[in-house]
Amino acid sequence: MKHVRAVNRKARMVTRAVKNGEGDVKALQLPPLGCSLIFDPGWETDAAGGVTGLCQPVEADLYGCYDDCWWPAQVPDQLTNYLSWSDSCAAAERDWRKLDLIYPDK
Amino acid sequence: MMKRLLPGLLCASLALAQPAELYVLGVHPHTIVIFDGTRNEIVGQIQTRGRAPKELVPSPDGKLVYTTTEGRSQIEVVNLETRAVDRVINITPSGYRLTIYGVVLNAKGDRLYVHVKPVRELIDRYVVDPPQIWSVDVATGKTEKIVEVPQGVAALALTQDERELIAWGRDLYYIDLGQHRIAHTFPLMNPVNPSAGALNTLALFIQFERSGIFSIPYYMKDPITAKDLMGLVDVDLHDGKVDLVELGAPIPLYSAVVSPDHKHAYAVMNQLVAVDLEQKRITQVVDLERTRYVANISRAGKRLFVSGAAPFIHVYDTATLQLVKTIELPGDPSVTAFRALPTRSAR
Repeated sequence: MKHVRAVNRKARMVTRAVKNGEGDVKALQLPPLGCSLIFDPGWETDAAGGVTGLCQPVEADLYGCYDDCWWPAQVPDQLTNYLSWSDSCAAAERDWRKLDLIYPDK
Repeated sequence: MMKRLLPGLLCASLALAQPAELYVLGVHPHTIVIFDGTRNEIVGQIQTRGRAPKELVPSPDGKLVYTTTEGRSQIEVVNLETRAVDRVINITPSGYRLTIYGVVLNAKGDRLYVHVKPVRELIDRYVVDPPQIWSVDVATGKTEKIVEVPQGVAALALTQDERELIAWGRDLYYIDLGQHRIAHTFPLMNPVNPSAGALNTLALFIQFERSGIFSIPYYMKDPITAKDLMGLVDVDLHDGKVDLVELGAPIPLYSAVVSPDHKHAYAVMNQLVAVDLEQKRITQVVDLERTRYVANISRAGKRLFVSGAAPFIHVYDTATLQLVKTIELPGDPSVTAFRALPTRSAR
């Protein structure tokens, strides 16, 4: 890697950020609310390492999580892409089969 | 015969004369539902132009509701009389993306205060600007920056005299609207006293119109005993004073609502929890059949309306916490506000 040199402005910013120990990803952490404000750790386990403290059933929590960016990686988000992925599914618990599947453009 | 009929007729006419007790909540993907709490029925549905209505702020006369839609990026002015969106207030400057977390309207009804998270969209990167409070002229849509605030603000409320705007984030920031600065801070996540634990709150669910108390559950680890604790942060919007109500071992709860007489609070997530605010203790816990995000309470404090997450409103008796009725919704309410409209005669 020592033979790789930054030649444009963005690459120089990355080099400078690594050198200065700056945080690397900000866009998805800061524009939405951010999970650090809340008490639940995510969607896999609750604070005690179990599942009883999670939302029941999990489908009912889908829009609550993607809208406000609790699950920014697991489901399409409404901040940038695929805004209409859930338009035909008004109630996730009842109509989850109507959710669109998202595939990358070929 | 007439003597027997008369009391019944009198009761019926009184019931008809009783003003409707209306509530609004947003449901996925494009709807605002009007719920009548006196009849426990949905009495109207309004289609929004953008997706996923979130914040809901009624006008003082109860004719309009301001709601954020389309990824919290715009404000729609919803007319409850015509059952249509009057117009969309787009406050995003050119070249920016804006996310709105927190909207409040002044008592005169001509100025909104919004908390915005601006991101500049440059050709090769995004630049995250500091979160800030703006005021918005409702008539013209013209915005004015009031002050920058720390990250994490999720809700706004005005004190009764409207001198201070309370921004609820990792701490409570009291913004002097005359001087355009944060006048003082009530610490939650950043306690000044080392013997006080950090209070973790989630101020997404806003419903204080019945009591004037903005109440949110908190969670903390006591730094001395290392025990996990929960309680309520109660902010009295009359004067902005904060009351911390410690309630013991944690029960996961999303939101809380205080009764009109200030004697009780009710909080929800996977359980419905009743709190005696005078004795500062939990009096009853009922398991719910599914997760609920938000609750509001009737004007008399006798009925609790519980919703959020799955497509239902559940009506509970506050004295017994017995389920009275379940009303099916056309879609998921998600992280919506569930607001009581100002009292008017039945529409």
